[in-house]
Amino acid sequence: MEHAAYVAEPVSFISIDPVTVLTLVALGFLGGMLSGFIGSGGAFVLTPGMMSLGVPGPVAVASNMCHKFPKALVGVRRRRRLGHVDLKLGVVMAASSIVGVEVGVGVQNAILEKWGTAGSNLYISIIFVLVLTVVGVSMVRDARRAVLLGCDDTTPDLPRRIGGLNIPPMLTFKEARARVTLWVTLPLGFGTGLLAATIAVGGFIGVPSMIYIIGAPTFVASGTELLIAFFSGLVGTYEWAMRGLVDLRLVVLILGGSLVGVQVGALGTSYVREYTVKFISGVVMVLAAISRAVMVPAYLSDVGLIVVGNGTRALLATLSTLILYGTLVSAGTLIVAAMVRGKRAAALQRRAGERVDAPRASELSSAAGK
Amino acid sequence: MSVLPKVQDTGIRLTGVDPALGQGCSDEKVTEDAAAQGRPRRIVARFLLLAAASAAMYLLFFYSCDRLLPLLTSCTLIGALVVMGLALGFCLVYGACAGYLLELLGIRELE
Repeated sequence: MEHAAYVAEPVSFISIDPVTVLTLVALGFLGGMLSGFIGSGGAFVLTPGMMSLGVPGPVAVASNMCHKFPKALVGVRRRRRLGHVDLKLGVVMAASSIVGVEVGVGVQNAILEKWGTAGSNLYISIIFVLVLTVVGVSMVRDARRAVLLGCDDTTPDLPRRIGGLNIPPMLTFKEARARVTLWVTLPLGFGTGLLAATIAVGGFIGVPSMIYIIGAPTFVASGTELLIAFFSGLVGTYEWAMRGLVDLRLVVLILGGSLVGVQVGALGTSYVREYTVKFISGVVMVLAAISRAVMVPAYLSDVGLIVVGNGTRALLATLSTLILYGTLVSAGTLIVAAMVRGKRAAALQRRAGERVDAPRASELSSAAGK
Repeated sequence: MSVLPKVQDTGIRLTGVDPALGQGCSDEKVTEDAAAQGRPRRIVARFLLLAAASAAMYLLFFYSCDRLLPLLTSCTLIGALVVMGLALGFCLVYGACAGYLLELLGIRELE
C-alpha cells in the first residue's frame, strides 16, 4: 500500500480560553508537586499534559523547558537548605548536559523540518514510552526490594562496581557520598541534557543515573538534578526561543500552579521514606508511559504510516488524557497524604516529648523544695 | 532583670502580655513571643503585596499578549532574552508569593 508523500505543516500555537487556563494551572500544580517530590522536573507529565490539550509537541517541549529553569532555581534554593543538593556533582553534570542540550535541539529540529509537528509528536511519544517504562519499572522493582528486605533504601551493585573504576580524574562528592571518575559523570550529564532538549525530561536520566550508577541517595539525586535542570533549561530555552517555539502564555500559567506545587512536593520528601518516593515515582512513570503509548497509533496515522479512523483517534485521545490526569491526581493525593501523616507524626512526637519533660521538671522542683 | 525595654523595642504594647512573663521567663523568650506575634502580620502584608503584583503582571501580560507574541516568537536574540527574562521575573514573583501563601496556610513553617 502506498502513502501520499508527507507534507510538514508549520507549528501553530493554541488559543487559550478560561477552561484551558484552569487546566494549565492545575497541571502546573500537580506537575510541580511531582517535580519537588521526585526531582525530575515534573516535565514528564507536563509535556504530555500540554499535548493532550492540543499543544504541538515541539511547543510543549520548548515551553516546558522555559518554565523549568526558573522553577528549578526556586527548587534548588529550597532543597539546598534541606541538604539535598550536591553542588559539585550538579555543576560537573550540568557542564556536559549543556552539550547534550545543543545536540538534542538539533535532532528535534531536524525531525521537525522533515516531518513537521506530527513527526515530532510521534518521536516525543515513542521516546517517552521507552524511557518511562524502563526507568519506572526499575524504580518500582527497587522499591519493592527495599520493602521486602526491610531496609529504607537498597544499594544497587552497579555503583560499587563503578566506584571501583579508578580512571583519573577521580571526583569526590560529599553530599552524594560517592567517589567516581569524571568519565562516568560526563556521559550521564550529556544524556540528561540530550533528553531534556528532545523531550524535556532530562530528570529521567539524571535522577536514576545518580542513584543507580553514581550511588547517590535518592533525596540528594533529586535535589542535585534541579541544579542540572536549571542550567540545561536555561540553554534549552534560549535555543528554542531562537526558533520561536516558546509559548510564554503556557509558561506563565504553568508556573502559577507549579511554584506552589514544587514547594509542597519538596516538603513531602522530608516526611516519607526513600522507597516511598521511588515507588510513587515508578508507578507514575509507568502510567504516564501507557498514556503516551495509547496515542502512538494516532500519531503514526498523522504521518501517514497507518490508517486510523477519526472515531478511534478521538477514543484514543480521551483514554490517554484520562490515564494521564487520573495518574496525576492520584499521585498528588498520595504525596499530600504522606506529608499530612508525617506532619501529624512529628507533632505527636513533639507532644510526647513535652509530656516526658513535664514530670521531670516537676520532679526537679519537688526535689529542690526538699 | 527587667523585660520591659526589650518588649517595647519590638513595638508590641504591654497590654495583653501575661504579667507572669516578667517573673519566670528569660528576655529571649519574651522577645521571641513578641516577634512571633508580629511575623504573621508581616507575612500577610507581603503576601497581599506580591499577590497584587502577580495579578497585575498576569493582566498586563495577557492584555498585551497580541502585541508581545510577535516579539517573543521573532527568533531573534532580543526576543529570546525577553522570553527568558519574563519567565524568570514571573517565577520569582510567583515563587515568593507561593512561599508566603504556604506559610499562611500553615503548610510551610514560618521562617
